[in-house]
Amino acid sequence: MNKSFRDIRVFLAKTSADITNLEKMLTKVLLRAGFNVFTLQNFDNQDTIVQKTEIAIQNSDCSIHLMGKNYGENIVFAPPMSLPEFQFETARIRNQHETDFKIFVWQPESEIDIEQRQKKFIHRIRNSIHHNMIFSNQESVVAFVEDIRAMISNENLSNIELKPSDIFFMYNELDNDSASETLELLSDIVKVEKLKVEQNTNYEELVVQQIGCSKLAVIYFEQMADWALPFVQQVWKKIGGASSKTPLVLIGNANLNGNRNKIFDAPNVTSLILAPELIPLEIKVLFDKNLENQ
Amino acid sequence: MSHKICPYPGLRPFTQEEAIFFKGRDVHIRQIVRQLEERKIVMITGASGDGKSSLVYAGVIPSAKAGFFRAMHTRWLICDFRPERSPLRNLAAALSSHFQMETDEIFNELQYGFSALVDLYQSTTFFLNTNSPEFQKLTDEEKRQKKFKAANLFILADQFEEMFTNNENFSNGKPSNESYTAVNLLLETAKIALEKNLPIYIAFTMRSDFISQSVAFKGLPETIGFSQFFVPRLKRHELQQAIEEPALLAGGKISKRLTELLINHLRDGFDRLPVLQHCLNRLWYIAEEGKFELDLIHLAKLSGINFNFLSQEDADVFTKWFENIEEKEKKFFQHPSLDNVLNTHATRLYETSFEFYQKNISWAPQNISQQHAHFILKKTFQSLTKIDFGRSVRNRMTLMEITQIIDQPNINYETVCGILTVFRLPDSTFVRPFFDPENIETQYLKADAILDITHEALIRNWKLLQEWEKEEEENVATFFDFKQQLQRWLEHQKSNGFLLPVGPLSFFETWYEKCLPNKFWIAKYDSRSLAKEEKLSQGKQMALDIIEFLKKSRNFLILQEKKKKRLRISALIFSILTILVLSALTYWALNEKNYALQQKQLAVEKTKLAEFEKNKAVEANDEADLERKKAKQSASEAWEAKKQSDEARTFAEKMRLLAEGQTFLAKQESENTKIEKSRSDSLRIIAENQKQLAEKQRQLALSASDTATKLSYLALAQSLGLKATTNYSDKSLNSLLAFWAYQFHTKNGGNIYDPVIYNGLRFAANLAGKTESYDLSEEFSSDMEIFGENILISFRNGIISNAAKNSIRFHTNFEIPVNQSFLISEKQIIYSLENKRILYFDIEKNKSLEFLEPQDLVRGAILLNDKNTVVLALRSGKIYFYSLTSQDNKPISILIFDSRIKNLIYCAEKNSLFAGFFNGEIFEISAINYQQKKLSQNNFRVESLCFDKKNNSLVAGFSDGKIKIISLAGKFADKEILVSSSVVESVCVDNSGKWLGCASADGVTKLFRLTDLNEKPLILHNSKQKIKKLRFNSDGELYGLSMDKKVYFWETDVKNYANFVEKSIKRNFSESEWQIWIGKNVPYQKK
Repeated sequence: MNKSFRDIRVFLAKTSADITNLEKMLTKVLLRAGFNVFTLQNFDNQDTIVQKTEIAIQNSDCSIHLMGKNYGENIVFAPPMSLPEFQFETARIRNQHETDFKIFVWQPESEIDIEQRQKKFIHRIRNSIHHNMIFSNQESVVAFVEDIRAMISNENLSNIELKPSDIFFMYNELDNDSASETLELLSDIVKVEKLKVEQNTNYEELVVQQIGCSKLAVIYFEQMADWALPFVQQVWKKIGGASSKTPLVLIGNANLNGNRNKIFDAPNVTSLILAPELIPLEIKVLFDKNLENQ
Repeated sequence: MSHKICPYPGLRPFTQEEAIFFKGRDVHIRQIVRQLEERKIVMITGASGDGKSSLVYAGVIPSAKAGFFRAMHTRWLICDFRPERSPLRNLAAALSSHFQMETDEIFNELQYGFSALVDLYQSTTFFLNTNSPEFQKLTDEEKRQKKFKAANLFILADQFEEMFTNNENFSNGKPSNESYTAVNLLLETAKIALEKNLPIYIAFTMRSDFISQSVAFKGLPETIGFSQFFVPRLKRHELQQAIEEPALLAGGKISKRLTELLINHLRDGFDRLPVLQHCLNRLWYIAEEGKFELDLIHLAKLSGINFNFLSQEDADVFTKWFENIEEKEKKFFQHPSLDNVLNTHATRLYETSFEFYQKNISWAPQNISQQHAHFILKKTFQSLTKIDFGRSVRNRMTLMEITQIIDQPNINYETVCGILTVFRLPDSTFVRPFFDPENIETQYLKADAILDITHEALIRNWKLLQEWEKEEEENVATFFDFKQQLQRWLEHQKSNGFLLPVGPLSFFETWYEKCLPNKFWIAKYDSRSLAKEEKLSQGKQMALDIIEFLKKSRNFLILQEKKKKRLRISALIFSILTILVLSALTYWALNEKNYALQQKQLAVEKTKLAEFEKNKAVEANDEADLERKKAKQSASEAWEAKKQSDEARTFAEKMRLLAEGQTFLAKQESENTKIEKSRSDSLRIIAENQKQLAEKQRQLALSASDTATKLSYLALAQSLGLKATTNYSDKSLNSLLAFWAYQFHTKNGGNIYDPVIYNGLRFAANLAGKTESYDLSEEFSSDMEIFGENILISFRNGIISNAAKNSIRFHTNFEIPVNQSFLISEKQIIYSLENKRILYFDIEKNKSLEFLEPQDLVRGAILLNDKNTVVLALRSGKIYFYSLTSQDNKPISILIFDSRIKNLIYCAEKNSLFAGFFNGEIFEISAINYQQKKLSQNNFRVESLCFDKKNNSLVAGFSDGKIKIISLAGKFADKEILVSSSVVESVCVDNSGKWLGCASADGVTKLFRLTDLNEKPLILHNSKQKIKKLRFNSDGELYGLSMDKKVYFWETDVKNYANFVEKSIKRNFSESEWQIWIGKNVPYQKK
């Protein structure tokens, strides 16, 4: 589901006094860029700080932490830390548990004249950056917000109707005859979703998303090795290669001698050239093996 | 898979096979594919190093082959070529392997331009018209077979800028026939394909800085306008994909913190992607081919970042690793950066090339040394680069062409190939063709193999290559200059009149020795559109002409010189004799003249001195006479008044007697008598008053007479004081004169700090053996501080000695001399070295550390009250605060000022720093909260500063010779006095707040009394060698560190000199001596 930027709640954490003007500027730019920005003001005591910060982070989609030259006074005392650090730590804890939550850390100015304690804080952040956390040195506030937009909009995928399946079976239209036979045999034993690749159609995104909701992806070829090999390579790349959850099987029909060396050697890919009658069985074996491994 | 493939290609572009690792450009690939689908043609432009070729080879082409390109057929014919020196032939060669026709046959066909390429394609079985009646008549199986064979045609003209950079294609703003035809053919093919919807697609890649030159080809600018795709810079998330995802695809991992740091540290401008890709490639290998997660520590090991970026744990690991690497490797870690990774890699290969050659290249001759190997590499890389319109670009050459340019008898093309191998290995790939361990043909290259630098990023980032390139550029510039001279000589039938004169000849001979231009080198820089053979032939002739021209110029000069020499010899003999005689006479005359001048000078000086003394004495006598006259006049006035008083008294007495006599006669007139009596009483009072006045005036007269006598003695004291500063053969005279000068002066109320008396006593004391200086053992002193009885001097060679005890206290050796040092306590010192390193030494604890962050010269260093904080004032205008107990050796705080700092002092009582600047400003800085307060502003730089503890004021010396005294408590308005006509080098106030010492650059050191700055100062020192630093000790003695290897010291209490002189006196003046030196009118006295 695509979100508009207006739906994205950005929590702008407290910054040190030396960059208040920049903070104001950032708030305005974020608003102009269409984000829903909010900050926390006026704390009465430590309990309020803790409570309000946790609620604010919980209710946001991402947080922005602006690094100034000063560390600030200790506001929280167990362990002692300043408000900017406490808010960053709260965001970091949420980020560790929820992969969708993003943290943007921005240090726009040079490292000269930075207070020692703040330096250590920045050093700690730098050495603990992990997934969905961005540490930027962009000089321009607009460029920084552009990066935020790109990072958020980058993940928006178009809506395609997907059908969860055991095996996602793909082949070129020119191999339709032999593929149909294999597909028929295979459909008897497992739940198969097929894709006949034809020229003049745009199936790139469909392939990537459908593989994501299948347990095994098979690319079959007989005559069309010249297509199958680049195709499997591109698909492998797009679904995340070795890190993909769905293994790929590139399986060629041994009836054609030219197919003997048409294999793709890469992590998470099984490449086989088999006699047509063995192909459905081998796919089933690979499917079972994959289930066991999972 | 048995092992992980490196997913980062390094400096070379991604190949089609590596497309699986090409990430971050998905959107751009889709945009180009859509454009090709719609327009059949795309001109991909962008800056060098923006990944144009990779975008097509690893993006567009694999996408097309995978079917993500909506085209007529599934199969693709990919014909890619580079224009190089023959674009049409290269296109023909690319087509021939697919069309199964001879290259020449295709070349001949393509020369007709326009539809020639479309016609060729349509004549092959790859072309299929499914609407044609022939196709419709076929059976389904036949149609299927036809479809299997059918293929789309994709033509890629890669590095299209070669159309402009190669002289064979483009010269003097004009395209060659072949290049013109090639462009026509490609543009027309795209046009026809679009009109007839044929499955033909044309892509170009070209550097955007050549777009303006495209006007030379008809239709090309319009096509660029219609089909241009400018390769955008990767955005942050795209860079993230390009860094992280290849590792994941290959089964490896890269830490998020490394990704973020790489993105943040990539500098703008050229070569972002090549530098990044090369760095990632190196990271992959240093992390044992992706066995470990690629992390910051790996980048630190490649000298890509400073180890300060690492976590403590990683920093410890790195430090141990660093200690164990070879000493020669450590130089690569001085300036870590992402660019440095590439520079370091290339330099390492250069340094190890000979070793690699000896160990691994058995098939090439082994008759070369390391020097030869380095020479080969230099010449090879110079050959493979060239300057094109001020830009460094690649220059492809064959192995044989390079060998011919090297032109050394023991170096053949096999040797060149062998030496260069290290740059072609799979993990370096700096030079094409790359070395494939499984393909022998790529290892042992043939003589006609074309070599090429993989990417221009190497030219821009390898410092050694930049130096070579600069040298080559200078060689070429000199060559063109020389060529003009040579041409003139040849045009004038090799006339002697056009040979080179001695200056240019020496210059060009040096150039020739260095460059050794042969026909191949000359041909390389021949920009004319000639055949290669023709260029070589003309180059050969020019190489011969060069030698002849230089030789004849030299011979002609020698001949001329010989003629001149013969004439000169005879003239010389005569001249020598004449000169000898004249010299002897001149020498004698000069000596006599000098002697006479010296005598005259001496006489004049003596006369002046005598006159001066005489005038002084006369003035004093005149003053005394005047006073005596005044006293006499006062006395006579008093006598007159007394006389008047006496007369008045007599008159009053007479009147009283008259009144008494008349009492009897006229009692009636008693009233009148009473009146008269009253009048008489009044007159008596007046007379009484006049008597008192007369008494007072008499006293005044006596006092004036006494003052006159005192003045007379003071004048005498001045005269004696002056005489005491003259060198007499009998030194006891100096002591006696100074002693009596002091006695007469003090007893008659003279100012105790009178300069004449002070100088007389000091001079006499020195003659009597009082020393006022210490000799220093070392030559170049840097700083002086006084701690109790110790006078510590630090020297530029790192030695600290105690001048008072003549002992060395501390000794360290620096390879780099000390620019300035600062004794911040008796046991702690800061050294600021000439190479801008800053070191701290604790002499007692034998501890030292280096302040890493500022790279600057120090102009002031202070140890604060807490004994832990060191403050460094840097020349650039920054003040750093360091904690000596800090672990990371980083500044606690940094203050930045607008102007360069000249000096810094500290007031411990106030815990404040005072800094003086080049622009004349003086700031007070709180050492507690760093608050700054501007104390003063002046147009001249602040040369010296000192704090007057007693009066709570600051004294500043300026470059215009003035001194300013600023009250910090606001007790008095700022005072300013001119103390010298030159720069005030040092100022210093003693603990009692009484004395102000001041040394100026003209070598004069003065001592002022702070209570009366208008008083004439004491001149302590006047020498050519200036005093660079002044300091008072606790006893009020003033010390001065001089440039003449000495420390001088002076008494500020004149009594000390007087006592010393008195003790040294062993005799009295005789009476006759007394009359001569003191005077007949002064009563004779003994000591």
